[in-house]
Amino acid sequence: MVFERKQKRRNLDGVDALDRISQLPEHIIHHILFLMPHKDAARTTVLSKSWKQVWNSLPRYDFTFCDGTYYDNSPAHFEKKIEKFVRSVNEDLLPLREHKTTIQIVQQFRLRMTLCHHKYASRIDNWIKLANRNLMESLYLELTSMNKVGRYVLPKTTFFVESLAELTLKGCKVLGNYFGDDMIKSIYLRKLTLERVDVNYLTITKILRCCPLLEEFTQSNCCVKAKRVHINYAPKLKKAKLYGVKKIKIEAPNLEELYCRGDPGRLDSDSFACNNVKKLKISMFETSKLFEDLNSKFPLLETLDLQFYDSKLKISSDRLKSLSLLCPNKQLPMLQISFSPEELSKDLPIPPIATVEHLELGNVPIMQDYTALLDGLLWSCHPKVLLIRADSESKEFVNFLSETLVIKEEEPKCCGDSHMKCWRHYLKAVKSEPYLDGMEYVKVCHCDALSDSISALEICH
Amino acid sequence: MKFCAVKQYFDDENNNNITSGASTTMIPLPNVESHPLAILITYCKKHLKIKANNADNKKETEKEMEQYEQELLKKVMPQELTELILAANYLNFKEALDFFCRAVASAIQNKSIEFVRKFFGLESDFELGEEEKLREEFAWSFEGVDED
Repeated sequence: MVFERKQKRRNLDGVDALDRISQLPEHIIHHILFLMPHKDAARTTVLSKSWKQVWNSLPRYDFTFCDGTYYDNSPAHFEKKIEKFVRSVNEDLLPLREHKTTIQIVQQFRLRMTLCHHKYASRIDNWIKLANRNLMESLYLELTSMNKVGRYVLPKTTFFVESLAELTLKGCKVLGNYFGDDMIKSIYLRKLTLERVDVNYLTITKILRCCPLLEEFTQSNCCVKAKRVHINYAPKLKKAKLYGVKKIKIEAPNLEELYCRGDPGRLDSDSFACNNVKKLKISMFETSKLFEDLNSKFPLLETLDLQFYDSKLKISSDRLKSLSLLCPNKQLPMLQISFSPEELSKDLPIPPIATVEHLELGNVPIMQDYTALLDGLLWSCHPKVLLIRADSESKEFVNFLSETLVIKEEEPKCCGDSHMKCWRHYLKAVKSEPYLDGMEYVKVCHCDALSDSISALEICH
Repeated sequence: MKFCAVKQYFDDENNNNITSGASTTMIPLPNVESHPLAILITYCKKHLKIKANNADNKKETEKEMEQYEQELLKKVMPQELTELILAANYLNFKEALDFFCRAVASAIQNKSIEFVRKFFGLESDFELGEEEKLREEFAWSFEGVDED
């Protein structure tokens, strides 16, 4: 394969300025790359377009192995199926084993298997080591161990495969002794997922400390030793999902999306040091005073999805665009949502209206009188869309809304001469319609007095 | 097998040894410059000589060959390496090809991109931002590199 020649003036000194190297057949350049450490070979992509093309033309493999077996009552029969599966994997991996003169890239190695005997662990070890030697970019392991068979322990070298950008482990075990305290070696992962993994939370912290490029981290329902999450170094982390944990302490200055689900757990003001979070979802956690000053903790927050248990909730933020609240307690919560603290001060000429466009409420408890709740909500923000999750209990609330949110008069007389008008003065139109979703929703839309377009208030149920 | 391309040329005449010296046939080699060809011939002769000297001792052969190769590399300019590879490839001279490939590999490994570009006489022809994106994507390969 001949690349485009670059014609250059020949230097009289004899130093040939022509890009002769690109005239080499591709397989020879592949051979030269093969003779270098993987890191140096990979770097040649940046030399020029033709070198990038050479790298892209290296042989690549995508392996997905799934034993597809469901345990049936006959252990012998099951083991036979697994043996057959193991043989087919070995066959498929032959191209990697054969000595070649060129680098091979394993773009993806996915293995889903049930371990019915510990002898299979070493087979898996061999497969992974083979892939490790061949510039593996993404590894996915989902290994279920049958009772009495120990969990699969991930080989230590896997973490240090330099080309590995994505690692997903489900049902495995990670030992802590890979990572000594004098850890200086870097791990170049960009995405790490640990689901139902047997690992100590301190090991996880150590691993993350070595990952300068990590952008996404998920920890889900891991063992008892990992019910805590402690992340103190995550310079590039953008997205974090922490499920099934009891305690969180995370320091991630560039984090933008954070999803937490407790087991249940407890959060406090120490839990988060992530100023750039834009999307936050929290459920099954006691949040104590965390949300009293949302603005200082998460100044850039735009979307908040919160399930709260405390009896009092106070949120103040001026950037929030979407708010979703779920209160599973049957107790009446005292809701105080002020979207800017100065709102209720009489000194301001015009009360600032929050820009929350989408407000979702769930599990609104049955109350005698919803007026206070509605006033509290609509004082602070004039959402364009108000969604109410419809269940047997919220029917009352919906009815209340349809009665109250009606335009009765042109200019309501309720607030007199006060320059602070209540929400009734801003309500332009109300429309009620069913909201198409799996769950039934009631959608109530409220129009902002400051906007020109009249969006109807829609009550959907 | 050395100089396979040339050998094939001689097959008709049933001549196995190109260094026989007696042949005066003109073999056209349009893609090989005289300088690299001279080096390759020297390399080949040396290799045969060493092999002959240490007929039974393979290890000795290897050792001597390595010494010779180190000496040779000192005299060869980096830019000439690419010429030598092209010549060895055209002539189908496997040992020399391997040797010079290894020489190139060790010359450019652990060196910065700028160094390697100069070495090969390359220029970056990426569009604006394209190189940045690639460097990002391959960030793992740039960690801890000797930037000279």
